[in-house]
Amino acid sequence: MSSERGNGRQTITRRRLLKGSAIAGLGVVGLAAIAGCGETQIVEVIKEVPVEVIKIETVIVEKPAVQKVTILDWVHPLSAEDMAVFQPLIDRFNRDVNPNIEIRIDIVPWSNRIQKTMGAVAAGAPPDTAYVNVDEFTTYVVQDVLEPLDEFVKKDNVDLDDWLPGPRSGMDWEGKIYELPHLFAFRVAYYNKTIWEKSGLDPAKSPTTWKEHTEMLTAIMAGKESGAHDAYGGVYAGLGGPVSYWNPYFYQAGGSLLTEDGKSGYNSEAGLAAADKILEVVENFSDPAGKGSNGNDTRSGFGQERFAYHINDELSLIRLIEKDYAGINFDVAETMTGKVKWTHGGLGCKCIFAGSKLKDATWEWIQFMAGEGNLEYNIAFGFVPPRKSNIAKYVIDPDVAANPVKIRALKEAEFGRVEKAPGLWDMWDVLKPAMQAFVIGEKTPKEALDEAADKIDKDIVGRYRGATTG
Amino acid sequence: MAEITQAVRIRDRSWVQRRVRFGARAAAVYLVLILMGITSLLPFFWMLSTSFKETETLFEYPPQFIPAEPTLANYAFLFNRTNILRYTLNTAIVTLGTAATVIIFGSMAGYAFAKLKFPGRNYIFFGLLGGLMVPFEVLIIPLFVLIVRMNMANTLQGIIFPMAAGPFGIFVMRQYLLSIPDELLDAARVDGAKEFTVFWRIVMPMSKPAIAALGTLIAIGAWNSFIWPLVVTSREEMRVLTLAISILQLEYRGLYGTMMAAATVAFVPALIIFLLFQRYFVQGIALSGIKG
Amino acid sequence: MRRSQRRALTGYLFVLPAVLLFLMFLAIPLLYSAGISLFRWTGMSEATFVGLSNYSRLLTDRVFWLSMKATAVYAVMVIPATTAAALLAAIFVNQGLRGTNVFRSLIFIPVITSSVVIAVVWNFIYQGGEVGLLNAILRLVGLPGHIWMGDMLTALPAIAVIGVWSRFGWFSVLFLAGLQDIPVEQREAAEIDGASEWQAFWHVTLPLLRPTIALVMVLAAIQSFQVFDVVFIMTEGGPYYSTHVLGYYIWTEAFRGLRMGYASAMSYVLFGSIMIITFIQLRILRPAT
Repeated sequence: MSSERGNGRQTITRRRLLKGSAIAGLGVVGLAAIAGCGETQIVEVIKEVPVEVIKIETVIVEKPAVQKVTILDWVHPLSAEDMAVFQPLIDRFNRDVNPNIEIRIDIVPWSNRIQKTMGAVAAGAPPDTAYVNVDEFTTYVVQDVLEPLDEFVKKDNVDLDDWLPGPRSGMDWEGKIYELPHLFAFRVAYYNKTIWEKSGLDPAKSPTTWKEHTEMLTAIMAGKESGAHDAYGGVYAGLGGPVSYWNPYFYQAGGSLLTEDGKSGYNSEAGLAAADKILEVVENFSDPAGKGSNGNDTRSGFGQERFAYHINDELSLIRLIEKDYAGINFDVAETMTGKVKWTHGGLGCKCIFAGSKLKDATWEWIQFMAGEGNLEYNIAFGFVPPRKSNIAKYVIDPDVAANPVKIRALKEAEFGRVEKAPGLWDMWDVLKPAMQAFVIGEKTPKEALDEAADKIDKDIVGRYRGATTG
Repeated sequence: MAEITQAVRIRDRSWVQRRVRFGARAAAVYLVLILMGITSLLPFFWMLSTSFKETETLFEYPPQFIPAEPTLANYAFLFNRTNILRYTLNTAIVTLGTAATVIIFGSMAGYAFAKLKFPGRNYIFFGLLGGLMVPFEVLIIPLFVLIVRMNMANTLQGIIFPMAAGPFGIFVMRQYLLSIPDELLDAARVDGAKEFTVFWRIVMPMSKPAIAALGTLIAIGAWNSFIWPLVVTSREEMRVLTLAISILQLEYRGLYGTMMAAATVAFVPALIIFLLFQRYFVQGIALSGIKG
Repeated sequence: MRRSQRRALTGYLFVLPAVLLFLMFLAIPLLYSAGISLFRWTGMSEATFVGLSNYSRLLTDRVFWLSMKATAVYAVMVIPATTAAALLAAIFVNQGLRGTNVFRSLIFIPVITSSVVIAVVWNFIYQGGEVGLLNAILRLVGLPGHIWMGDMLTALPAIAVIGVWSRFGWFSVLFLAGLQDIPVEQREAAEIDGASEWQAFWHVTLPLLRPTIALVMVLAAIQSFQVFDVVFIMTEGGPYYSTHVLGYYIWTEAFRGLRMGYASAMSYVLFGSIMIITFIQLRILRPAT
C-alpha cells in the first residue's frame, strides 16, 4: 500500500521539484528521465510532508506550469458525434482545473470494449482511465487491473453519499472503491399513448404489475384485431441480449444472479417465472418477425408505432424518438413490480487503471467527469447524472425542464439497480443462447435454464476470486 | 472415299442439328446466366437504393427498388458527421502498403525460389507454403500481443505487416517465374549484370502480368480486411472502412440508410479496382490455382 | 568467395525479407499460440500451466461440439453447392456465346466485396416480416414469408447461402481456366463417336476437370472452416448455437470469455481439422494415373 501511496504522490513532488528549478520547457521525455533518476529521494521528502501541506502544494501547482502530461481516456460511442461533446468539456477542464493535463479521448467500439481492455492490459499498456461498465469492473478488480480509489476519495473528501443509491452500489467491490459513476443509464419502460387510447385504455395509466401488463397488452392486441390500429402490444428480439429482454422480468420476479451458496440463480423459480412471462410476451403480444431480430431495429420500431409497450430501454431513446419520429405521443411507463420493483440500472463509470503512470492527473480528470463536467456530459448524451447535487441542477436545465418525458423518467431512477459479479458479461453470454432456445421452442425453459446455470457454475463461478453475488 | 463422305455427312448433320439446337440452347444458357447475374447484383442494387432513401420510406411495402424521392441525406450525414474520409484514406494506405509489401518481398523471394540455386531452397519454400493452411484464428492472440509490444497497435503498419506476412505472394510469383526461360536471365548474367540488376531490370518488367494479378488480389483482400484491423486498432482515427461500417451497424442502431451509404462507399473503390484490373485478376486466380 | 557460395548468398538475401516477415508475423505467433494452449490465462493476470487439460476439456464441452457440428454442417452445405454453382457458371460462360464475359464479371462482384458489407446488406435482406427484401419478394409472388434468422432450421442455411453466393464467382474462374485447358478436339471427337453432349461432358470433360474440382473443394473447405465475419455481424451464433461456428467460438472464448489458453487449443483443433480435411480430399480426388 505504501508503495502505491508513494506512486500516487509522485506527480505532485515532481511538479514541486520542477517548480523550484529552472527546467522549464523540457519535453515529456526529459521529465520522465528526471522523475526516473530522482525517485527514491523524492519519496522520502513526501513522507515528511503532512497531508495539509501537500494539498496546498497541489493547488499552487495547478496554476500554469510548463510540463504537460497527456492522459488517455477510452470511451464508447454514445452518439455519432461524441467529440463535439468532449472537446468543450476538455477545454473547460483545462481552463478551470488543470491546464497541464492534456486529455486524449479514444472512442472504442462498445462491442469490442472487453477485447480492447484485455489486450491493452495483456500488453502492459492500458489507458489511464476508461468508461467502465458495471458488467466489467468486478472482473477487472479481481484481476488487479484497477486501482483502488479509496486514498483519492479520502484525500479530496469526496462525499460518496452524494451518489444515488443505485450508482452508489456500483462503486465498490471487496470493500474498496474502484469507480466513480459518471453516467446513469438506468432503463425505463415506454408506452405509446395514442395506441393506448385507440385500444380503449386510459393513456394516463401504464401497467404497474405483471397482471396489469397482461391485461393491457391483451387489450392492445384486441384493438389490433378490430382494426383500431396496427400495432402489436409488445416487442421481443429473439437474438437480443439478456440485459434488454431478461433482466427486468428475472429481477422483478425476485431472482438473484447467484444463489447464497454461490451458484447461478438463472434456473431458480424466479428464472422460470421470467421465462414464462417472456414466452407470454413472445407468443401473445409480439410481432413473430422479431424472433429473427438482434434488437437493432427495436427503437425505430417503437418510433414507427409498430408496437405499443417497450420494456427496459435506455433514456437516450427519448432523444432518438423526438429527433426522428417527432409527433409520437409516448411517455415513460411506471416500472413494474412482480415481487420486486426493478429496472436495469445501467451505469457508466470512470476508473484508474493499475497500469497508469499518471494516476494523480487521471484522478483530477475523472473527478471532473464525475463532478463539474458531469451535468453537461449527461445532458448532451441524454442520460442522467448519478449524483444528487447534479440532479438538482439537471432538473432546472432548460432543455430538461421543458421535456415532460425526461422529467417523468426521473421518477423511476430510484428503481434502477445494479448487478455485479466477476464474469458477469460471460454469464450473459451463456444465458443468451438459453433464452433463444426456449423462445423458439427448441428446449423447455427448464431444460434451457438448467443447462445455462450448469455451464455458469462449471466455467465461470469460482473462476475468479470472490465470486459471490453483489 | 466412302468413309470420308460418311464422316462429312455426319459432320453436316450434326452441324444442322446444332444450328437448330443452338437457338434453344443459347436461350437456356442466357437465362441461367442472367439469373445468376441478377442474384449476384440484386443485393448491391438494394444497398445502393437503400442508401438514397429517407428513414421513413425504408420499410414500405411493396419495396421501392428505385426510391420515389431519392435523398442524399445519408451521404451528407456520413461525410459531415463521421470521419469517413479519414477511414477511406486509412483503408487506401493499408491497401497500398499491403500490396506493395507483398509484391516486392513476394517477387524477390519468388524469383529466388524459381531461378536461384541455394542449399535448402525447397525446404524453405515448402515451409513457407505450409503457412497457407494456418487459419488466422490461431494467430490473432499472439499477433496482438506482439504488435502491442512492438508499439505498433493503432498504427497502420501494425495492420499491414501481419497481413503481408502470408506466403501467397511468394507462391504466385514463383509459379509465374518458373515459366520464364532461364536462357534469358543467363544472357543478362553473362553481360555481367548483378543479380539484383537482373531482377530489377529484367525479371520485374517481365512479371508485369503476374504482379498486376497478385497486386489486385492482395489489394482487394486488404481493402476488405476486417478481423485484424478490428483487433489491432482502438483509436477512432485509425479505423478502416469495414470497421466503421460494423460500428455503424452495432452502435448506431437503426441508421440503415447511413449504413448502406457507408457500405456503398466501401464497395465502390473495390469495384473500380476490379473493373480496371479485371483481366489480371482472373489471371491471378488461375495462376494461384491451376498451375500449382 | 566461390561463385556458388556467392550465388547461394544472393539467394538467401533475396528470400530474407519475406522469410523474416513470415517468421515474425506467422511462424513465431503460431508457436506462441501452441504455448498459450498449455496455460490457463485470462490475458490480464498471471498464466497458470495446465498441461494438456485445455485439450481434454474439449471432449466434455457441449458448446464446442455444437460449434463443431455447426461448422461441419455449414461446410457440408457450402462446399458442394459452391463447387456445383461455380462449375455450372463456368460451363455456361464457356459456351462462347456473345456477351458471356459480362456475366463472368457480374458473378465475380460478390467476391470482391468485403464480408462486412455483405453481412450488412444480407441482414437487411433476411429481416423478418415485410421489412426484409426476401420476404417482400416472396410476398410479391404470393408466397408466405419466413423468419429466416429466428429459426434453428433456416439460420445456418441462410448463412451458407451467403457463403456460396459470395464465393462461387471466384471458383468459377478456376473452372473456366480448367475448361479452357481442355482441347476442343477431345470433346468433339467424343461427339463424333456418337456421344450425346451430356455423355461427352460426363465422360470427357469432368474427368479432365478432376484436378480443378479437387482444388476448388479443398479451397472451399478451408474457407468454410474459417467462416467468422458474417456470423459475428449477423447472428452472434444464434439462435441457440445453430450458427455458432468454431471460428466464432474461438473468438468469444478468447476475447469475451478471456480463456486464452482454451481458445488457443481450439484454434489448433481448427488448424488440425483443416489439414486433415485437405489431406482426405486430396487423396479422394487425386487424379487417376
